[in-house]
Amino acid sequence: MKIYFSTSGGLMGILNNHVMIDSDTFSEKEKYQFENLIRHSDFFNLQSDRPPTHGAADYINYSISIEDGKQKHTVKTNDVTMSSQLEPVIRFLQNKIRK
Amino acid sequence: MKYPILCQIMPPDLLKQLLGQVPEEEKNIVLRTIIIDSKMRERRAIMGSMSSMFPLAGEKSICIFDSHNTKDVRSSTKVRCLNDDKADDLSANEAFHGLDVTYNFYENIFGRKSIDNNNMSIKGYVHWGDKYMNAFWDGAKMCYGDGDPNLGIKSFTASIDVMGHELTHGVTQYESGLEYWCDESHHPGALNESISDVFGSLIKQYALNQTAEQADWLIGQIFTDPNLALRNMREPGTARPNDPQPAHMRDYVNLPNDEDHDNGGVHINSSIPNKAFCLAAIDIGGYAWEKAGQIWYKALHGDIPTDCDFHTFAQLTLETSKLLFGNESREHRAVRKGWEAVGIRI
Repeated sequence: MKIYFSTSGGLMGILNNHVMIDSDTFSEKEKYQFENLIRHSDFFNLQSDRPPTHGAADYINYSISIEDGKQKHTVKTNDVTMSSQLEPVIRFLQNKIRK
Repeated sequence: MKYPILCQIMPPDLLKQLLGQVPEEEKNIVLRTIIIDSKMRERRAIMGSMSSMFPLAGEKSICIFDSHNTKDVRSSTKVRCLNDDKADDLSANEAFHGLDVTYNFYENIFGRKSIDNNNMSIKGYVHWGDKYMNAFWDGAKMCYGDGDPNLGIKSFTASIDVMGHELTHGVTQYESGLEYWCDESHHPGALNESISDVFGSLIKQYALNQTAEQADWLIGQIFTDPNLALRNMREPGTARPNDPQPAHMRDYVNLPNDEDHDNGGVHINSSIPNKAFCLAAIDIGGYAWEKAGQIWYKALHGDIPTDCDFHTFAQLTLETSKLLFGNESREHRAVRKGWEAVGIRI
């Protein structure tokens, strides 16, 4: 599984900070954890969020693309409209990048 | 160049009448004014109808919530409100102090009561997310991350100008409705960001009792290295290594207006109006909130097109400085010089 994760915006004005993570580099525990998160979030059927309205500012935009065999899907979200299903996926990826 | 701000004073009927009277080559300018005017009227109607959705406190109200390193409001707990004792939590106390100073600044200097000028309850969420390296305004509340000291970033509550910056996004939401994007010829997002930097810096100067000359004009000293900041209003591009902010219109960074490029670089080109304000404030002298701050606040309070460009905003500040302090007054000249120094001739 190939995961393309990018962030942009925020108070720091991040510009298209993107990384590619190959799930083959995950430990067995991480692989199990991530596959569960993808399943629970129903990632391959999630739609992207619309940008926030009503004056919101300094939020971070996130983009996640996952290639798994023949499946490929991209979801875009942000700090304001992010669903509770997607939040653990983003947290997992951010922790993985920090390591 | 009087047409871009016609919508401040002319009712729509008169604008339409004018359309039939102006020469052919000026019809587009009047037409654009009619469109901007109708957008602003629509926005006011929406904001007015939304006001009942936000609980009004009736009097000053500030509450800090602990999000316990989640991004879930429902599991957040109240840790400190107005008149409460200090909390056993540094971030909660820093956030409370920052928002309290910000409320007092707006009330004492501009007579403004909270974000909406109607004592809307101010809500700050600390420990937002897991080592979340950001602070933001979501349209109704402020959220502050803890940062990650291992990556050189402190808690976002550590910087009082960040508190002021985020709350000012709320003020801008209620006063101007500046949209959150930029392109080559429209700069509402960068103006929105600049207004937050301007008042964020003024709030820090007010808290430290500093004159414009004494102020460091730095925004967001959230790095563990005390020599670094997110932005330098006086000398854009020097706040940290690889600081992308331009100091002049000739270096305007034209980026695609999309989610991958900070909505067209709203946090990048904000340095141009930031520097114009800073230079005007230093030229005027004294406490920056007394004159330059008044000019910017009154300009924000006026009718700004939701897709405003730097030039139109510069013109608004220049006209406001003339109205407040007189034609060719020191303040009027300082504002013009400030904008000219960043390549905006008015």
